[in-house]
Order: sequence, then structure tokens, then C-alpha cells
Amino acid sequence: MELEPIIGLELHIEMKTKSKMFSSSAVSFGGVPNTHIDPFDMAFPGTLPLVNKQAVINGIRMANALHMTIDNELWFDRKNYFYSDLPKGYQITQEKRPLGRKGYLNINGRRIDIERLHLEEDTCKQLHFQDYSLLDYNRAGIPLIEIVSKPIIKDGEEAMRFVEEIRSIASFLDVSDGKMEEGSLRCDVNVSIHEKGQQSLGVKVEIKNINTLKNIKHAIDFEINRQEELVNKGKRIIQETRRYDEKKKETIPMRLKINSIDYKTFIDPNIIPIKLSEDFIKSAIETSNELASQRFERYQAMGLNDYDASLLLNNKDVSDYYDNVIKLGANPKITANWVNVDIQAYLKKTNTDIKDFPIKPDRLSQLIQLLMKNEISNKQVRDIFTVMLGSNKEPSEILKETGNALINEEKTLLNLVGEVLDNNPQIITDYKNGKDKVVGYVVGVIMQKTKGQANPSLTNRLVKEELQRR
Amino acid sequence: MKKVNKEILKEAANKMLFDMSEEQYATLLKEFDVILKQMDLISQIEGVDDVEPMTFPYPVYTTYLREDVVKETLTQEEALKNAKDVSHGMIKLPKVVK
Amino acid sequence: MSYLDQSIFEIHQAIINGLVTPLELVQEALKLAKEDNNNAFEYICEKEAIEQVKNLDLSKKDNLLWGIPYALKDNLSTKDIPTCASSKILEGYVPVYSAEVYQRLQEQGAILIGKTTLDELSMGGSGTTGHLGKTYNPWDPKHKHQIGGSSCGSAAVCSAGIVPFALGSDTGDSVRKPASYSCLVGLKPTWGRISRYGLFPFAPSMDHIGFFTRNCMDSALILSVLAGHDEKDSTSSTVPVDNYLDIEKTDISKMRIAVIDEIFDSVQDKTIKDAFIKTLNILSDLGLEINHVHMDDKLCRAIYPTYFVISCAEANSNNANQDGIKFGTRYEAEDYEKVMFEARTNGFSEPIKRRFVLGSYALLKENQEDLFLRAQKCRRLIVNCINEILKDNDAIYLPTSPTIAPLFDGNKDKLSNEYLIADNYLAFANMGGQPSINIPIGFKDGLPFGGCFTGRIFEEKTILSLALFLEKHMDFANKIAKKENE
Repeated sequence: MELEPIIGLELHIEMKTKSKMFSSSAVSFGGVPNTHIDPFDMAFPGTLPLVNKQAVINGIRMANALHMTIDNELWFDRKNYFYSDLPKGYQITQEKRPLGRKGYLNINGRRIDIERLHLEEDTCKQLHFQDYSLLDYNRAGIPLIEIVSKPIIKDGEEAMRFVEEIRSIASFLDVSDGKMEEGSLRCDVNVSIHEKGQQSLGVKVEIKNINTLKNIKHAIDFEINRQEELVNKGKRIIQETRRYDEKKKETIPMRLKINSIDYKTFIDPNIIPIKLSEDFIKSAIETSNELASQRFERYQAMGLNDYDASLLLNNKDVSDYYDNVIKLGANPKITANWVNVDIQAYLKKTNTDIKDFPIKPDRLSQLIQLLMKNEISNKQVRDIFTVMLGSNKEPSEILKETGNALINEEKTLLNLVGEVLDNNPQIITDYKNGKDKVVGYVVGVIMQKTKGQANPSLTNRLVKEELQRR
Repeated sequence: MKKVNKEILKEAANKMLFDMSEEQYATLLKEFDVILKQMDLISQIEGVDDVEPMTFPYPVYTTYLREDVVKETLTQEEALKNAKDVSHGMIKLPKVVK
Repeated sequence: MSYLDQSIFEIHQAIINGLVTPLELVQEALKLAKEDNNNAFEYICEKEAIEQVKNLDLSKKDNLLWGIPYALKDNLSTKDIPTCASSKILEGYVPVYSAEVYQRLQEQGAILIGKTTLDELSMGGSGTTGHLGKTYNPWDPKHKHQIGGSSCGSAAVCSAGIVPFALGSDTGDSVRKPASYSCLVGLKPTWGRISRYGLFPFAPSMDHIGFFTRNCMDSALILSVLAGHDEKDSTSSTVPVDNYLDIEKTDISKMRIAVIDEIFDSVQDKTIKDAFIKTLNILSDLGLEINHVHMDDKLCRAIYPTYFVISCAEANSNNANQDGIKFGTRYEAEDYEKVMFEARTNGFSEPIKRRFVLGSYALLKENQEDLFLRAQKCRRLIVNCINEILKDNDAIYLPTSPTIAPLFDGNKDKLSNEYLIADNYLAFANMGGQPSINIPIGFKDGLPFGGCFTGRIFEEKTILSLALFLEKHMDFANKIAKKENE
């Protein structure tokens, strides 16, 4: 019997709007506990929800990026249950009419269908100690986007890539930082296996507590294996909720069995339905940032290869930085190299974020343009770059100070060319005999003599001309 | 018509995180009986299942959405004023079993 | 003679003419409040009222409500003033924010004398289920008769002459019914006409803030102050607010009045029926068209269960925030769930719990279709029917209650037509949000009863002017209970 795994994902994305989903208190991460509170967040009796426009716009933009059908009316439901982190005793969500329906993403050429996307509110934060817990309501009410895929993902790798793509989209749309380690992107997985070709789905096991992208793959791979082993041994798979244990690299049954709770969902009578006009939806979409995929196309059109382009798009802030540099006139390919190699190396070594990188786009652009104009050599660029890391000065200023401009005067260079050829007449003979490599040799000697200051391309041309002349 | 007994009612109450006295469950059972009978009669009203459920009193739609602007209203003290067990600026609970 | 016995307009005039000061009014009201033996107060704002009076903005002296004492039902949030909705579970709760209606009244310069009792968490109609016990009817000094509910305290303080107006809330009939039992004008405006921000919710889709006064012009005045959109309540309406103060000028002579026969016929009491017919004659004498209309008997009997199922369902969800953790009485236990369990078991009274269980049961997946959703469907049928009647009629007019205020230990036959229909039909105006007003129309055995006009949504002016007209042709306005009994 050939077994086939079926995986479904449920993602929660915490939005970085200024205020909360249904109240005007601030969305803050890591603030002093219980200092960003509106009476609504504490569920004081008599308080009422007010829907956040930006959160809706973000939801529309995400749904659009996922090719979803967007509802033209916003309806909210109450999902009723009791838990210590749920102030009202219910969560306002969208069960019956999600904002977005029936979307998809292409992951490595395969279409992954997405069931729904909807808006809801976050719960409060709990800090657990040995025999007590502490509640911080700052997080209560932060806007969330929930995305549910159809159960058609085939393995851990695909699941991980799917989540990566969603994270990238959320990041590029400025909807969320999407950091799993910080909790602004959360992923729950449903895994089941069935006989290949069969329509019926197997017993579904839910896996929670996955907190990195890589662990999505690990958790799923482990679980598929675990389930296959059970089936092959003729044992039953229990429908349960498990958590991924990072240290053991296993899924483990959760102590608390989450029974199927009846949420008694009904339409929230405190939120009258909101009409989303075509213009509103259109405007939200048209004013959204470029997605990574759109930037990728733009980078390709500028001549970058796929590898360089993808590397730039790993992180929106890096891509933004890059865009700001080339906007000011720097050559796309050269800039890509600088960002992907030199800058990344520096960031990694010093554990810095691009946002804190000491060379802002304008200075890097100036530096690269100096190189483009051939006023400096590659070696000089590197030197100036190093100086710029520790100083606010502009590259042209640094260049003047260190007197390291390229030697561009033809006369000076020609003298040097003449010197080398006079001392090594063999070169001329070799060149006439077809050994073009000698050009590079001569240029190299001149670079050495000038301590790297000779304009390389100019020198190259002059050497060739001289060799031909002689 | 639905069958309801004391056990079902007790379970429903407990799920709502409270309990009642035995006499109360008995009273409630009688009340249930009446209401369920009345709802049964309603199910026989002509046309009742031909219409959509009504949540709001009259057709209400809005296009209004709140601007994403921060308005801080409560201090930490105000937010926690009515909580009886507070520690380090947070509400304290006996351990929450995860 | 106390100025507090007069209408708001008269008291205002007295202030303007220097005959009485706000401080004197407030001191008098506080004195009466403390002497009140109807168990109508949760909290008397002794310090706060004196403070408010001393801080009155003199530049607003011309406001009609400036310096006027009033009371609020204790399900309205008042910053720094204890509010417990007459429930043990909220004992000691002091809100950190204020309801919109309270803010507006403060702006006008009105002075809050106290928070009044209610049936616990607004769920009830007898005025007996609050944690302080029964609230009595000032019209019955022997304390044998109820004043109804859930806005029992507000009705009591207004009819006893402690304040000229008091706010309540009406989800099924909780302002109009007690008004009928206590000789008051009780108005429930259109759903969304007054902001619900700060109103402890019972059933939001049917909750309305309403108020008690002793005459119709006072009612129009309060409405003019409280009506209007509030951005803190997105369900509050942006429909422009009428000028309610010129209802005297409204020409009602060509209006058409509908009397729903099935409801009228289910009233058994002859005195009430006769008094009602007398008022019909007053109207028809002026030239109004009286139309007797028909409403399917099954639909009439369905009003109460429909209202009950929907309201219990919404209520049990609204009160899921009561867990003793963020506010309310806190109990210690081994785990969080037990903490909540203790708070809710000890804090909610038995009648409330019964409603919650019913509401919860009606929302369960396997029951929702047959119970909650079907009740919502029936709501639509009822509302459609009422609106159909209101297409050809400007108002529906019926006896507010089939009896005078019931005895505390009286028994009602809950399956009778009188109970199901006449005693519980008023909820139709909560389901459809139509404005509805009680006006006193008679007395029996020393206890009052009223008639109720219900109009189209946002046509408060219509029903106010009809009520005003009847008021002028009868002698039941501005009656103070204790004075009448002396």
C-alpha cells in the first residue's frame, strides 16, 4: 500500500498597524506591561469594537497577493470559549464570511490552494512561572490575519516554502514583520496520511508550537514518518494535538487534549456589516507595495541574474536599501554585488541589521558611481568602503584626502607602458605571435608600479594600442 | 423535539463555568420544556424557514472604518485598578495549565 | 412644595428666576434619596453630586438641564462611581471610563444623584432579582406591588419625585413596562438613536437606552440631548436628529393609528380596556383614523419565545467576560479555570444562570439551526409584519400592560394568551428597533397603567406628539406617587 501524506496549514500573522484591530490603543511589541490599554481591551462592560481601517486594507492587500476573491462586505462573528488569555470570553473573528476566499500560491511550480483569509484579534500575553501566571493585556486586540490552506501540501519542504512565501508577501506589503521567533508569524500544521489515490482523508493530527521555518519542515517530516510507521504496523493513528519539541526533534502529544470545542459562533451584534466599495478595494490594492515577485521581475529586467535577485529579496529591508541605492543612479549589477557580498558579509560579521548599517544608500551610491566613472580602481573602492564604515564622510571627500585617485592621464600611463615594453622587448614579440595574454601581464606590472592607482581599463587600452604600434 | 435532561443542563452550565443547585436544575428543566415547546410551535409557522435569520433590527450598513490612529487612554494603574491580584504590573493567576 | 416635583422646564425656569439654586435642588434630592424606602438605589452620589454642583459652568446656565438632578440605571458606566448592574459578580467594580450618555448629561450641567437598582444585569421584568433584593413601587406604600423591571430603580426614583428624570434601558420592555406601572412617560427611542457606549450589554441587537420622565415635553428634551451619532459606538445612527422640542406644533389630526386586535383582545382587565378605548376616542374625535389590524395569532405568541431565545443567547456571550480576574469579585483557587468558576457560580444569581444555560444551549452547533437561527428567522417575520402595519399607519397603539403592577407573590399563567401576548408583546419594538413610548392613561385600585405608541424607525417625533396630545387631554402628567397617596 502506497501512503501519501496530506498537509494543511493554518497561519496567523500579527499586523504592525499603529492601533489595534477594534480599539485605538497602540500596537506595541515589548512595551511595559498593561500600558497600551483601551477599556475595550480589558473587556470592561459596556465597551464596543471599532474596526481598524488599515487592518482591513492590509487584509485586502494580502488577499489580493494570494489571488483571492475578496468579499465586498465585512461581517464579524463571535467565537465563544473560556481561557485565561481571552478577556471577553469570546474572540471577534470572521467565520461565516472571511475577507478572502479561494486563493492560491505557486510553490516550485505546484499550485497550493488557499481556503480562506480572515481578520481577527490577538489574545493577551501570558508569562508562566512555576505556580502562577501573569497576564499582560498589551497584546490583547492586536490585529491578526488568519490564512488557512487547503489540505494539499505534500511534504515538509513544500510547507516550509509556502510559509516562507507568505512571510515574504506579508513583509513586502508592510503588513507584518513575520518573524516566527518573535511570534508575529505563527504556524499550526495538520498532518494526515492516506492510501495514494484514495479520496478519503486519514486521521488528522494537529501540530502546534512550531517556532522557526526550518522546524516546520522537521516537524512535518517527523510526523509523516511517525504516522507511516504506525500504519505499516497496523496501528491506529489517534486524532490529537501534538507539539513539536525542538530539542528532541519530535512531535509529542500535548498534555492538554484539545477536545473539539463548540464555539457557538454567531454574528457579533455590535459590529454592523461594513460595505467595502469597489473603489476602496481597488485603491487598497493599487497603492500597495511591490511584492517580492514583482521586484524580482524588475531586477531581472535590469539585468540581474536569478541568484542575485533572489538574494536581495530575502529581506525586504535589504531590497529597500538596494532600491534606494540604484534610485540615485548606481549601476544595478555592481550594486547588487556590493549588497549581496560585501555588505552582507559585514552585517553577518557584526550581527547588524541593514537598517543600522553605517553606510546609507546615498553614500554607497556615490561610491559606486565613482567606480562607474572609472575615477577609482576596485582596490580603491574597497579601501574607501572600509573608511566609510567608520566615518560619515562622503566617498569623494575620502578620495581627495587619501590622494588615491586613479591615474587617468594618458601621458603618464603611456610613459609607464613604454618603460615596461622597453625593458621587456620579448613581450612585443610574443604579442605579435598571437599571445594576447601578455596584455594582462603588462597591465599587472603597471598596476604594481602604481600601487593600484593606474586606471585599469585605460591602461589596458593603451597597452594594446602601443603593442600594435610597435 | 430535542431531549433535554438534568445531565445535559449541568454539562451546559459547567461549560459556562458555573454550577447551580439541584432545585435550580429542576426549575430550569421545566423552563426548557416550555421554551422548547414554544420553539417547536415557531417551527410550524408558515414561511419561517423561507426567510433569512435577522441579526439587526433593520437594514444597517456602513462604510465607516476607524482611522489607524493611536489614542492612549488608560494608565497601567487604571487598567489594573479593578483587578484584585496584581504583580509587577500584571494580573496574577494561579498557574495556567498549558 | 418641592421644585423637584415639577417638570424640567419649570425647574429650569425657577433656576433662571433665582427661586432655587442647583445646590438646593441637589441637597433636596440627596435628602430624598437617603430617605427612599423603595430600595431604589445602588449608590447615592453624595460627594460626587455636591462636587458636580460646585463645579457647574456658569456660562452654561441657559441649558435646560443645567443644575437639574437625575439618576442613572446602574448598568451605565460612570467613571469613578461604582457600577454593578445590581449583580453580586460586579460588587466593588469602579469603572475607569464613562458612558456617552453620562458624558453628554455632564456637559449639559445635569447633576447625577445616584445609580439605581435593576433586575440583575438587566435580565428580568419584576424588579426583584437585583442583589439588593426587591425594589418597591412608590404607588403602593404597603409594598405589595412590583414596579416591574428591569429598570425598576429609575422608575421608582422618578415617580417618587426624587428626580425629574432617570435613565434606564429597554431590551424587551424594561422602560415601557415599569413606566406603565408607575405613571411615567417611558420612551424607548429607535435602535441606534442613542449611543450604547458604556451601556452594560444584555442583548446588543435589542438593547436600547431609554428614560423616564413625568411628562412628554421633558421626554422630548432628554431625547434631544442624548440622540445622535457617537463615533465610539459604530452602531449608533448617522440619521440626522430631529428637533424634538417642537412636538407641540406637530399636526397629528390626519395620522392613522393601528390597533392590533389579537393583542388588544388578549387583555382581560375591563378597566384597562375601557380606559384604552376612551383614549382611542379622544384620538378619533380629533380626526385620527383608527384602524383595527390583524396579526397572525401564532406570530403574536411567538414574540416572547423569539425575544427570549435571542436575548439569552446574546446575553450569555456578553457576560463571558465576568470572571473575577480583570474586575469583579475575585476568588482564590488552584487553577485559573476554578478562579473563573468560583466567581461565576457565586456571583451570578440563579435566574441569570438559567438564562445563560438556555442561551448557551441555543447556540450549540447541533441546536443553532432549530433554536437560535430559527428565532432570528421568526424575528424577521415579526418585524416584517409590524413594518407592514406601519406602512399604512403612523403608529401602533395598544395597552402597555394587561394589568396594573403585579403583586410580588402573584402567579402568572405563563401559557395563557394574556401572558404570552399582552404581557410580552412590547419586545416587537426591540426586535425591529422601532421607537416606542408609554404614556399613563388610567388608574385602578390606586395603581396606574399606560398605553403605548410605537412608530416607524426614527419617527420619535410622531409618537411623542401623539403621546403629548393624549397627555393634554388627560390628567396623568406630573404625578408624584407619595403626594398622591398622602
